[in-house]
Amino acid sequence: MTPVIEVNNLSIDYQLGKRWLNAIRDVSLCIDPFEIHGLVGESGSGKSTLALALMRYLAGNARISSGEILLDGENLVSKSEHEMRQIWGKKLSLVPQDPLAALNPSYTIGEQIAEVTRLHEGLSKQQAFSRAVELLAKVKIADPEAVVRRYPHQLSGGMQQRVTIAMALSTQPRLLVLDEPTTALDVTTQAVILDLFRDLIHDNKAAALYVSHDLGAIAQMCDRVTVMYGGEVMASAPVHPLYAAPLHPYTMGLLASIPRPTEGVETRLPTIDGVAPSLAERPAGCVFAPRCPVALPICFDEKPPLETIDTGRMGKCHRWREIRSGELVMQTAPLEKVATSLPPDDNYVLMAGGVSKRFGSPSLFRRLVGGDSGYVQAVDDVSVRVRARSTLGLVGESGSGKTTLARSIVALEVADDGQMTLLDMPIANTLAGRSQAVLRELQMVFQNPNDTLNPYQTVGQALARTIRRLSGRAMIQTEIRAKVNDLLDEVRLTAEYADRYPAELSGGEKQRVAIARAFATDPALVIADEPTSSLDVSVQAVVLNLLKDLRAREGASYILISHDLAAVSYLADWIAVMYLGQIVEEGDTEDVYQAPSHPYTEALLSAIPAPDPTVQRGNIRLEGDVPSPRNVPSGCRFHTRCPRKIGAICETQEPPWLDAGGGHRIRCHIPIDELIAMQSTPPDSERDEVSL
Amino acid sequence: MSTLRSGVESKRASRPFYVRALLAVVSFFRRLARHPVSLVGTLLVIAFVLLALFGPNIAPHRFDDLIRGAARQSPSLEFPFGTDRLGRDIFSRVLWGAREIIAIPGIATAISVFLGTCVGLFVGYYGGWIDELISRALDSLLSIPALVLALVMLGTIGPSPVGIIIVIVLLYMPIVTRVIRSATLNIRNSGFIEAAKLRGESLPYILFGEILPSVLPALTVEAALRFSYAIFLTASLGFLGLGVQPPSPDWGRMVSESRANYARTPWELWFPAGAIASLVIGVNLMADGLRRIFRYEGQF
Repeated sequence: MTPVIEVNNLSIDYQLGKRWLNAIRDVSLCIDPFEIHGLVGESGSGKSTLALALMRYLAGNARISSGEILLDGENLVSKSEHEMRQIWGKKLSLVPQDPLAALNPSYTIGEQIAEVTRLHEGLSKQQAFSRAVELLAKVKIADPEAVVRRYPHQLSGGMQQRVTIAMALSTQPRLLVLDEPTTALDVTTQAVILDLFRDLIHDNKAAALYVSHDLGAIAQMCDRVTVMYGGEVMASAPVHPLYAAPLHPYTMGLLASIPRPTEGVETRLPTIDGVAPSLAERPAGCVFAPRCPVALPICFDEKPPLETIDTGRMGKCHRWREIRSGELVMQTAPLEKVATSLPPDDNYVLMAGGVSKRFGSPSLFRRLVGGDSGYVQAVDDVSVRVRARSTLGLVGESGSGKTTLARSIVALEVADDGQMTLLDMPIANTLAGRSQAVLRELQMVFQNPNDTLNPYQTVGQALARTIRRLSGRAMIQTEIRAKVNDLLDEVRLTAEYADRYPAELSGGEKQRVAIARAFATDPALVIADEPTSSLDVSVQAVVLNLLKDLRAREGASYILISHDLAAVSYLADWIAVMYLGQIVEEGDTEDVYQAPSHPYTEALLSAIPAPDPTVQRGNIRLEGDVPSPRNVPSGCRFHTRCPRKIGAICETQEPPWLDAGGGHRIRCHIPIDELIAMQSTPPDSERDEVSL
Repeated sequence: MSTLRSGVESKRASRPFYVRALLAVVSFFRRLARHPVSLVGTLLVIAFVLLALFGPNIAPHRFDDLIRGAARQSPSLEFPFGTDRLGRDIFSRVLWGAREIIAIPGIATAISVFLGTCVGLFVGYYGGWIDELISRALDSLLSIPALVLALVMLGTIGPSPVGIIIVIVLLYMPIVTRVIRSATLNIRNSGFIEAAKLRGESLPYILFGEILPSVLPALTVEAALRFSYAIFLTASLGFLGLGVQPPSPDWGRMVSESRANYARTPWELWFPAGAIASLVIGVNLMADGLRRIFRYEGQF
């Protein structure tokens, strides 16, 4: 079978000032017809550069220094941009990471899709437009006739991504490049989009390169996988053997560091030490050697060759033979002993009752006219409690109100309603009304590592300021300095980090400094808002371990907000699932992950792509988007998307809390026994309806 | 990039303040040297500032010395810029005049930038109806044409340096406010600001300790630009006779007065006009250089 695209010994350099830095070194890749080829790697591994290079669509300061790219045997490297324009969109298509940036905001969806077919297939305006409607129907957009006349900003993220795939497939391309197409989407939307992509790619008999850092999505989507690190191919293999028996220490490390829902609370995640090398300082030997737990002296001196291991399986490691024969067992278990966590006691650090928050006051006009309320009820009468030395996990899609709830608790938003007590003392809903002592006990770790630290303050200054503000007593300079060093030590950073500016830190390091800052005052409760969502999986493991260690050592409690149920389960002992501003289920972590579950929780769990190709994902998919919180559905808020809706009662009556034992509560009309019965037998009929 | 710099950075924090300040100045000029045109502009501005400080000391004559028998001399070694119809040395008059053309716009710009920064930081951070109120009020001030406002103001209170400064502040303070407000809006919801709120920081600390350093690049560029516009406006007012009053020399008025004699003594116009042009161009080139430096480093 002749491959659709073949990359041979490709090297790409970037120009920085007057120097050329090597970004991709001697990469070879081959994609057969009908194959979905996964390209996985952490940030900085060169995967996006390679994907764009395949399309000959590199940045202005990049050059292909050697190698060839053969599309159906035709070398693209020597083509001019003019010649490439005949190929882009026709034989090579791209599904971008950010659909809103890729779609032109001033043209309608229909015009943009029609443009592709008019250009490459010479269709008339009329034909192209009706073809656009067909294509939208194919990507399962409801009411395509209406959508073609809309503008990109009028569609949700999932819909936009469907439009870009419709455009990409409109010309029956030979190769489809998907550059992290679901990274910006919610897990439930991602699940639907991944199913759709897989079916459409197979139906169109196209080959695809699927670029992602998400090992779960790769496992579920791809036939073959190439693992990149530091601009080089580390391993390339069919998906099953790669996940079942990885032969490269880097692949092994990556797979091990994924948190899985089945893991207990007592374990630590294995991590890969160190950080990925920058372009300027790639090691001379094996690029992974400095972080490799089993590196030998030869690994630092000599670059291992990319060897063929089996048919279709390649690896770049000096020691793969030992790993395969079982002589070398990777020490994937953490070296450090598990920090023994203190048993959570029964008194509550925080109790928040009846918290409500709405945004946007109705305008005077609306108040006079009535009708649409005009405000967004982000959090609606929610009560949570956090036990001492435990973690409450808040889970839900975007728009569920989980972040607003957390921000109301720390008073970054002023709750409209609700009573909160911290350590059995009532606290005000506003920051101004809270004393220093309260502020000290309640700290927060923010989502975006890039703006969590002031770019013009050194790490030491940032920590010292927090210590000085909230220590509650005068401290001398040396005392503060010592405390800063202690804090850095707690988060496993050396003392020299105190003099660094945030621009000199990696994302994971910034987040560790942010954690150190939160712990500077020995708080009783730390709220972590998606602390790892923008970090690579190996870095995420480091941060999650750190949070776990600190909880045990400092005796703090957490509220951990995340859309990633697996990451939450690693830390949380109590989970609350939120939907449209309300909690729909809460309970012990283990209880929540098992039947009976609220249908929404069930769908969330089912949507997580398992990092194991042999595990068939759950097949419950939520169609449609989260309804606008401006118009909350009547009755059960979830009824518009619920796959287990039982009838009119769901639309008219608010569901009661059902007790499932052990404090586990579910807000649903379906009785507990029926939920258990439903959820233990997977409804396999639905699967056929969903797929084409 | 970061790793290349880290060695320097870690040493930097342990040095005393004045050494760090000196190093910062040196590194500023080294970075500026990458843009030769901007370096020329900056040196030009520095030269004019030195003239403003020491011009009267090095000038061969006083600005109002009437040199006997030396009227309408063309440029020569004795009178590098020639003399006017009254026999005054134009070179000396330009040197004496540098002080006012730099001091008045300089003070006015400093006041505009100071007020504009305070108001801009406050309304940008605070938002809400206060922001609406103040921003709309400043917008309405901006809608008045510059020269009309200047003519009305100086016509009623009479031309004086203080009057000119008030006019410039009224005109430019709203513009600085707008720039600082929008720069503040970009970062007011950053994690580091929220972290400061959570440790109970006061409003002044958040504005000046946390936000100000981040808007400083935008502020510096804006200040340089405002300075160049203020010089131009001051010179224009001088030209219209609303500037510094006779007999003190004013570049703008010198240009205006020389028009009548242009056929006989064109140098009377060339040199003050050239001085205004080269100062404004110098300041503009410097502002451009600052913008480039900050844009390059804006990737914090």
